Amino acid sequence: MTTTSQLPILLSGSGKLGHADADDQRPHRDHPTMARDFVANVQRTHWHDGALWFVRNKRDAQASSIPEWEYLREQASAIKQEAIAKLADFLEQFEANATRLGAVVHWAADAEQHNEIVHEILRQRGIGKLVKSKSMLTEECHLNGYLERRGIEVVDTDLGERIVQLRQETPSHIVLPAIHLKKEEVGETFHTHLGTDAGASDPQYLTEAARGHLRGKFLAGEAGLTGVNFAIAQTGGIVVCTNEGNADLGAVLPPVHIASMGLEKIIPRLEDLAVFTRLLARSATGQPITTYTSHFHGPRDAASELHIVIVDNGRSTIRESDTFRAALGCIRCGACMNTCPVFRRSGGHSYGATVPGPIGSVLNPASDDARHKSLPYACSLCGSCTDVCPVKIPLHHQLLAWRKEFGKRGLLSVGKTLPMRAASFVFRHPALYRLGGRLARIAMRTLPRVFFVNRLNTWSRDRELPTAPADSFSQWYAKNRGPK
Amino acid sequence: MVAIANSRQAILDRLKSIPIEQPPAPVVDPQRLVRYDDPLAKFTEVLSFVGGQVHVVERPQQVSEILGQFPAFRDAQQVASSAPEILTGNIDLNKVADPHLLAYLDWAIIPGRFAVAENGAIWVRPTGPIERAMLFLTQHLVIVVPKTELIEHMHEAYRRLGQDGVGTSGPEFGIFISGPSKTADIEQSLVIGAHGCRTLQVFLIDDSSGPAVATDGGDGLAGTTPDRPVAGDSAGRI
Repeated sequence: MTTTSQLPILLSGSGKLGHADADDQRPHRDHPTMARDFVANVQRTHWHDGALWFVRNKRDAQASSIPEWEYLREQASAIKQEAIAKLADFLEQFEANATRLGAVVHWAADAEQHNEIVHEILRQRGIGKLVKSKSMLTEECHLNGYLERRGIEVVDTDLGERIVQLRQETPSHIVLPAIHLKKEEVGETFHTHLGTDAGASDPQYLTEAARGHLRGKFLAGEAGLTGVNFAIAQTGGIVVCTNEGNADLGAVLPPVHIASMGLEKIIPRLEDLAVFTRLLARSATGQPITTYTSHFHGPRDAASELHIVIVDNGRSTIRESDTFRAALGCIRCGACMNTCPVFRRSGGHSYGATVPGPIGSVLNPASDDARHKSLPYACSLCGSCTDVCPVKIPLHHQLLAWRKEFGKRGLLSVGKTLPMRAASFVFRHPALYRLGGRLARIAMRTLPRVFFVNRLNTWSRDRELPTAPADSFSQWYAKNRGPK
Repeated sequence: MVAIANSRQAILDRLKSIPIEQPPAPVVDPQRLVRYDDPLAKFTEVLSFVGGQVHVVERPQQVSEILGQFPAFRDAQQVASSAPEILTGNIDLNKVADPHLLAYLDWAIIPGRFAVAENGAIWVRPTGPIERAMLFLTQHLVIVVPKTELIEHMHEAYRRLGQDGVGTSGPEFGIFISGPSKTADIEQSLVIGAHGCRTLQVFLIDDSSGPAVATDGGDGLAGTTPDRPVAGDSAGRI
């Protein structure tokens, strides 16, 4: 099963609304529809829920091991706010320093330009084999398809990403790309593509097979592409965090290293990394730090090249909104996904976007409100995402703000607006409210069940209505608590 | 490509057209950071937790003695060392012209600059591209660090990197390594040995009578950027 995953280009400076590439033009479906298949398998839903809750618990253990955890979150938030406010200055400073160190800095207004820039670098050097480490930005830009159509072999080397690439799927989670898959499914995929034993599903065995397979790809790679976790304005360096070591193998063997970064990856100072390296892995996977935290300052030698592609793709638009600006501080740890009761039970693919979960539900509507308008409703407003966010993005407040915004923009369906208007009218007329309550209590007692529990009432799909009480609350209060 | 040529200016212009007032983030207050009674115990605990092994030795010669107890080391065909005073390998790194030639490297040994107690990370700064490639291509990695170079947390780590002038003098590569390479991408099952090293041995060499922990010494984290206030300090300066 393949799911569309697309972060369309935002309304960029040119005012053009376009898609990065032609490979994702399937009609878009809303979150409940996309989640339907996933939730139909109750056992699997519980398994997925449990797998992510396990990660959330590991995160809690790590967070509580640092007494100054909350202080670090405040610091991280303040640093990101500073960086976003003075973004142009820091980007220029970063560019000047990176250039001084011998890197080549490119600027892309949107996904299409990003892909063009990367392709041009490869084409000019006659490069036909690219090894990639995990970069959600290149997923957002649909780089793989773009390059493959132009005859370039693209190999994702993060194990999870390689699995979904072989299956022609997209990552369902930004940190755990294959979290939606069972080991048996991975085993089948590897049996087909890597020739592992039929029926084998031991993670150790499968990982070993992938290691051997990808070693070959690393050694044959002609250019390596990595993402960027942090770009330091003060020094012009970039920092990449991985556990597998794939980003480093990709950057250390071929003569060309391309690093793609969203412009919000900028941090002002080297010392700011102390705060972020303490928060990132603890929040993401419950590790004290990633196995490898690599600091690249310039290309590795005179015979090598480092290209850094800075991508806007709508990020500057989000910066302009007082309500949603803080979301640009996201360091892509995925903690909001692991804790989200909706994400855990509906799976990442149900969001129909490269970045799913709470943060995705905030970011995606900024790029295409009509397309992603169901996402802020994939949320119970429980606020857990806000509580775990290492940079203190007020996620659930922003999700609520989107709903209000959709109302203003006239994007809500009649199914939502009409009942709301009716409710508003009833609440403004107490007599009508009391009458309605009485009629409803009588109706619930006397009418047949099918009147309430039917296909039209989606609320009752997995729920039973409670028994109607004899009295309204006002009546009950007057009897039990009111003046005697 | 004309559009791309204009993108830099267009992006910067757009960002500058919306000025946002925001004070600089306060400098981290060292008083609010965790301290460990026994940094060595913490380092050992954390590095073991992430799959590495810690050995505290008094003499450099003990390194090869301890490694000799591992069958994988005894059977190694290719060993490279950039710490020849501690262990000599059988590959002369100076003669390796292309990193691809290290594809079949079994063991590598490299000095680390300092070790961080809070997360078991060691700062390693390879001297060139071959040494750098060795770190990731080798099947088993050994890092040796003077026991005196054990610090508490990442704030202290980056203070030292700032002092070392990281990024100011010219191109360079440096890395924090915490444990062997790993993945949990298949059903959250932890597998050690993803793409990089399968095992990590860390030797803390205690061959001096100096202090066991390199402390902050009071000159601390604050003051590195004097234009920023310190959190909770109403005077805004230290």
